[in-house]
Amino acid sequence: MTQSNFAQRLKWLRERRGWTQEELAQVLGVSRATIAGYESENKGRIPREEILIKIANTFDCTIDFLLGRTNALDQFASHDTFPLNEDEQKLISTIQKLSPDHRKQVQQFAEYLLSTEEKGDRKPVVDETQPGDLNITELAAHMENEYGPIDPDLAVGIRRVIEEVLMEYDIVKKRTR
Amino acid sequence: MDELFEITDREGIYVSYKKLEHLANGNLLGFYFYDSQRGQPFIVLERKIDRWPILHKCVLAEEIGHYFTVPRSKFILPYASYRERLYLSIDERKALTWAAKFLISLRDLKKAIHSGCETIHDIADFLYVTPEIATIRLQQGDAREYLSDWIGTRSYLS
Repeated sequence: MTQSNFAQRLKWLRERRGWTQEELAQVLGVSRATIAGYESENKGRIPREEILIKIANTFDCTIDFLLGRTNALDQFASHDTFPLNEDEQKLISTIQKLSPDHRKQVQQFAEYLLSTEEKGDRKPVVDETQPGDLNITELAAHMENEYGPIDPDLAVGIRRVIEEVLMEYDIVKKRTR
Repeated sequence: MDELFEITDREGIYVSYKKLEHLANGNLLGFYFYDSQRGQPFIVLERKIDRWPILHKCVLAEEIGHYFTVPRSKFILPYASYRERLYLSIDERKALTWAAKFLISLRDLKKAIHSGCETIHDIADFLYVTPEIATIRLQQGDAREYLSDWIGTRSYLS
């Protein structure tokens, strides 16, 4: 197995958890640069055994997996062949118990949620942003992305506060000029 | 607290106290946003927050944390602090990590532990921070290292 395989797998495992390199570094008690080194396919560093064990424990996987012994390289391209984590297993076993009709509904709902997440990630370009044009749906989508379902009035309320603060700022700035 | 305002002054962050209690059932205590048109970062805090000095300090520190950890946003969007959070986004975590490290030095933490603090709440009370900030601080590398050494020494002695 090539070393770059370990680099790819570590990165994949980390991103799957939604962790930054910094966060993983904290968990493993190493520096962020060390993690970056492990994940760099060019450098191809493999950690010493003590850290390897820590990584395997952190991600609940075997060292064989980390080093690419249990999965052929071509399987790596497809995430489907990777072991599921506890949450994913639970999700799938629940869905398997549903009637075909309900399964379809879950599928549709999941697709809908995914589409809203994708929308929330889209950010307007800087030059197009006008404070007055601050879009409520986008604000709400962002908030929802960050904190889960929110009260629609919250986005409206926050927008009002922002406008008030901007006005206050402009007045203060004029006065101090 | 003064140190925090020194930072906002130095960085030119405009801090404003506004009525937020009517929003999110009073759970919204502050938020950070960046206005690209004015090229200006803002922090908005609940106007009554100074009644709770610890909360005031921690929320302000977290919002400053957003300023340092969120890439200069190209848009106005708030990064908020809630009183009771169940879920932390990556951005929130980054800001809290910054705040915890700023508010609690390793020396402070050692002092708290040597003074007999045994729970997160003990430590939070001792250091005048919220339990959330104390929890985040304890998860950081240097704190974990120190704690595992400390626990090791104690079990050795006993």
